[in-house]
Amino acid sequence: MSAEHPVDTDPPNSETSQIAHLAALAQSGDRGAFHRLADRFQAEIFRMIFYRVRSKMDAEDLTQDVFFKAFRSIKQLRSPVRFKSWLYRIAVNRVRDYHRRNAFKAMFSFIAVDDPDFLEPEEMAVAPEIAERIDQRAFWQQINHMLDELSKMEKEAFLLRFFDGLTIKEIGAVMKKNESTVKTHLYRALAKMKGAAARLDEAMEVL
Amino acid sequence: VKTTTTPRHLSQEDLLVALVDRNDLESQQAVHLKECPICQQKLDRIALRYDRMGKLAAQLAPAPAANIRLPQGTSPASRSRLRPLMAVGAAAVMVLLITTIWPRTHTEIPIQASPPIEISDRQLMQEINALVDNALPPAVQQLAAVATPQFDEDLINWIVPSIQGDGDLL
Repeated sequence: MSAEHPVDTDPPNSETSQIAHLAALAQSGDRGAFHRLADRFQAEIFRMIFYRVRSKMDAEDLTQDVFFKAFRSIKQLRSPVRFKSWLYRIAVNRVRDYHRRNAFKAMFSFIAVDDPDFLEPEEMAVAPEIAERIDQRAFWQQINHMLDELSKMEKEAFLLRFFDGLTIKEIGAVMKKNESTVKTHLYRALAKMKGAAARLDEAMEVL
Repeated sequence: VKTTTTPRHLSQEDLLVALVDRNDLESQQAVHLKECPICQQKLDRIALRYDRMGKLAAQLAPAPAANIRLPQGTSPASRSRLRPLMAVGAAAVMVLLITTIWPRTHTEIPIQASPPIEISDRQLMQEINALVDNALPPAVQQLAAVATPQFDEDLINWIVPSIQGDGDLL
């Protein structure tokens, strides 16, 4: 999101129409077109998943799973213009599956899914210098604290808007909610995070 | 015609509404925001914070290691034919798990009344069996994942099925 707070409209642009064109080609069986879509969105979807699972290895697997699923079911996509929202919806659902399955496994293995030790530490995912690691850890911890304040829907809307950079319209399509509901979730999320904003500024200052 | 600026500055709540979508502000507030550099500056500052947060997160997140691999000639139909068989298999494994692992990890073996020597023998055997099952002290067992049963992914998929409805978009 830019600091100029752009009005949240969704004008067709050359990239959107190029993606729609590739999606239409992929629907007609063109593997090359799907590969180009995968190249375009892989890093974005991987990051989106990583923000939600915080494990590089799991994010790799889930990203692969998302594109596999998209490849198998691309014919079900009714409007190729909506390819991006559709892909994000698949990713959001796979992340939800991941958390539900972990919760189920935790019932038998006595591992608390909320336990920070259960998550892969960031230093396993990225390998910067020690001082940087500590600062980065503080940043992610601050993000965790902020997100913990939110309900599931608020958290998802917030992540999609401010981490993944989706428009309100796209978020509505991903979450199957109308735009005013999305805005309400976003507004509530921001209001709840007001208190933690100063600590977030501090955590970002050192990076 | 000169526009009159509303003297009251926007509240923190109004600024958050503007951050989500400035079109949702009431007309008077929208006019004020347009003409008031102080409120504009406050809104810029909040927007910048979340903008920076998103950019930092993207910078600090790792990059994917491998490219996406697409299946060669995937046949969803053949998968769906196998699905009932897999479900039956998964159900059988689940019953097996429930009848073997669950009682072992959640119940104690009842001690039956018997003559004193037999009791001590049985107790000894129970202690030996307990040590065989859980050789590590309880505090370390979780770390070593001794008590963690291994689940087959198909079984997990059957018990916690994937969320459907990815494709019914517009």
